[in-house]
Amino acid sequence: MIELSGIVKKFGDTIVLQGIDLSIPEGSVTVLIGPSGGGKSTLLRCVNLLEIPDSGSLKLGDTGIGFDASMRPRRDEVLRLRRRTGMVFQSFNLFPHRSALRNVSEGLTAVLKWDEERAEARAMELLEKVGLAHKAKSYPHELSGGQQQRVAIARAMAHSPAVLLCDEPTSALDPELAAEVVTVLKKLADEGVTMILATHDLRLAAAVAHEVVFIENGRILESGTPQEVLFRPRSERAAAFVATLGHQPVLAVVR
Amino acid sequence: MLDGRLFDIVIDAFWPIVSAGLVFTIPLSLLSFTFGLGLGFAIALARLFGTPLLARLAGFYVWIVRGTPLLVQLFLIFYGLPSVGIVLDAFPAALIGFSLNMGAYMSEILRAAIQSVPKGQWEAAYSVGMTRSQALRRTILPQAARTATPPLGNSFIGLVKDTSLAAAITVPELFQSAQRIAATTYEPLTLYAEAAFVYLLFSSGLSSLQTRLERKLGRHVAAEGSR
Repeated sequence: MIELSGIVKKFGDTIVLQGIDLSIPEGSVTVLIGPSGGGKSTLLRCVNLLEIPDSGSLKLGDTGIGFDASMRPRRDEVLRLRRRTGMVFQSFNLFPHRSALRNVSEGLTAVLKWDEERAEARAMELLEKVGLAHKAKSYPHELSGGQQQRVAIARAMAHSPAVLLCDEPTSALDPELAAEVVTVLKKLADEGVTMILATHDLRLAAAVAHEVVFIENGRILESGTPQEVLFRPRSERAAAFVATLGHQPVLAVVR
Repeated sequence: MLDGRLFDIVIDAFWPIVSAGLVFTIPLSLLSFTFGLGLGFAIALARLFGTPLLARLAGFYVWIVRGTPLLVQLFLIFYGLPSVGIVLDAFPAALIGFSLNMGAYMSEILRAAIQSVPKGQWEAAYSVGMTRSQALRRTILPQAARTATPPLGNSFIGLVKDTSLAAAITVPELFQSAQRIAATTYEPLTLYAEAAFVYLLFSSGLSSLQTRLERKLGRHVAAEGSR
C-alpha cells in the first residue's frame, strides 16, 4: 500500500503540486494522465524523493515520512524509502559505460553489496524476463531504444522494489518499439507488480491500468477505472484532453 | 648549411640534451601532472560539492593561479620564499610551482567534465539507491573521465613544454642543457633548434599515448554520445 497525502511541491513561486492525495493498493497499477507540465512527473519523482515535497506525507508499506519545507528529511530516511522504489525514465538513462547485465546488477553490487556472482544471476533472470538475455553483454549504444528501455525496466526491478515508477516510458520510442515496452510492462502488471506510470500513451494506459488519475495544474481532477476516465470522463477538461490523445486505435486493445 | 663542425656539434649535443630531458623534464612533468591532477580533483570537488566557504576558497585559488604568470609563480617560490625563511632546492621548487599551477587548470577541466555528464545519470544512480558519493564514483566519474581525457592530455603536453621555464630557476633540464652548450659553442640557432626538435619528439610520443588512452576510454560510447 502506498499512501500520498497532501503532497505539495513548489519550484520557486510556482506551485506544481497543490496537495495530492492518492492511495495505491498493493499489486495495482495506477496511470497518471494529463497535460504536460501538469505535475505528473513531479508527483512520480516525489514518490522516490528525487524531488522532496514541501509538505504532506508519504507512506510506502511500513515506511513513512512527513515533509516540512523548512526541514529536509534526513539522508538515511530518503535512501531507505528510495531503495524500496524502482524508476524507469523517459530517456532510459542507462549507464553507457556498463553492459546491459552490469546496468541491471549495478544497484545490487553497489548498494546491496551482493557478491558479483549472485548479482549477475539475478540480473540475468531479469533480462530473461524482459526478453533480452541474449543482449546481456551488449552496451547501451548497441541496443535499440525499445531494448534500452527494457533493460532499464530490468534495472528498476532488480532490487525487488515495492513500487515501480515509470515516467513516460514509451514517449521517446516510435510505436513499434513502444509496443515491446508495453508488452513487458503488461507482463509485470499481470504478475502483480505495483506500479505508478505517467504517460501520454493511451495504448499503454489501457493495457496496464487498474486506475487512471487525471492530473492538471497540480490537482487530481478525476480518477477511476480506465473505462471511466479514458472513455467516459466526467469532467469536461478530462474529456477534452482524452479526445486529443486519439481514441480509435485504443479501443482495439482495451481489455 | 651543415658543415662538418656544425654536424659534430649537433651529434655531440644530442645525448646531453635528451638525457637532461629524461632526467629532469620528463620526471618533472610526470610528477607535476600527478600532483596537479590530485590537487585539481580536490579543487573541482570542493567547488562542485563543498560548503559555500570551501567552494569560495577553491575558486579564489583558481583565480589567483590562473591570473598570474607561471614564470612569476616559479620566481616567487624559488627566489621569493627564502626571504621568509623557506629555502627550497631548484627541483622541488619547480615541482611545487608546476603542481600548483596544473592543479588550478586541471580543476577547471575536471569540473567541466563532471558537469557535462547528463543530470539523468545522477538520477538513474540515485534511483537504484546509490548515495551521492557512490553515484559520483561509479556512474559520473567514469563518464567524466572520457570527456576530460583529451583536454587533460593537452594540458600534459603543454606542461612538458612549460617545464622549460624551470631553466630560469636553475633546474638543469632539457632547455638549460641546450643553453649551456649554445653558450660554449656559440651556435644558438643550431642548439635551440635541436632543443625544439627534442621537445617535439617527447610531445609526439606523449600524443600517441593520449590517443591510445582516449580510444580505450571511449570504447563503449557511441560516437554521437547517444545516451
